[in-house]
Amino acid sequence: MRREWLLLLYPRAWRARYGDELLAALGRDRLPVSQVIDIVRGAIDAWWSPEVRRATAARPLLACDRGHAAGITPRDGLIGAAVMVGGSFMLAILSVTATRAGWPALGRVGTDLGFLGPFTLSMPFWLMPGTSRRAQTTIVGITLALLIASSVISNVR
Amino acid sequence: MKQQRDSLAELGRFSEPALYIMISLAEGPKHGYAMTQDIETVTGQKLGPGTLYGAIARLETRRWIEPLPVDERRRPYRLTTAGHRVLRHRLDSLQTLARVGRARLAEG
Repeated sequence: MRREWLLLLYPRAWRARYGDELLAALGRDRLPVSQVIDIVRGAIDAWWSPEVRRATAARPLLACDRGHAAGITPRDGLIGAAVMVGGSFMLAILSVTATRAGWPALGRVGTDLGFLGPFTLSMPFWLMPGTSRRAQTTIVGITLALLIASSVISNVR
Repeated sequence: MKQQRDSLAELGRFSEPALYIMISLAEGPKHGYAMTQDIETVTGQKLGPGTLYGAIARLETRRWIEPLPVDERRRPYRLTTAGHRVLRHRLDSLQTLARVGRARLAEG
């Protein structure tokens, strides 16, 4: 008997949550009868236990998988957010300082880049997971160069 | 012996498999297959997959264990802080029970 067929004994929500794990836990050896009986008992429990049904129905996608499904780890998300917030803060300070120091054009460049600059720098962490470091550097570098160039051309004479 | 509200005993026929799972996870995160291997080594009992995931679902509902992101199609689990507390309480109870049992055997 194909082991996937045994999974059909379980409720759909249970299969969605634990199906792959159960198949992986079975290993590759031939299934002894005792294990088949245990799987059938587990299926009866999955249908009849309100606790198990509630647990599997309420969580089609685990919190730890929401980012992981896209290849993003919580650490990547935090670093990306830190780059966004930190970069915006630093550019805001630069913009204010330059304007007060008598360089309004540089201040306007800082303002232009205030959101797009840090966003571009944070892209490798949440928009480009899995791509090579070289590709990330190239894309981010070219985007930043274009942003800075367009801002300088439009603000500095 | 007074029972805590969040006792493992309330898991019925899953209380023993749940205890084994928690003891296995006390060593560090493991996926289902690694848990059954570890439990078999420690207790000599091979948990069936239906029993294993019945117990895992109950432990997860109570937030005594928590799932981690899938690693090569296998999902590891780890013991939570609440799980540590419940496991410690259960092991203390078993230790007391064993001590009383041994003392009575020695008397008898």
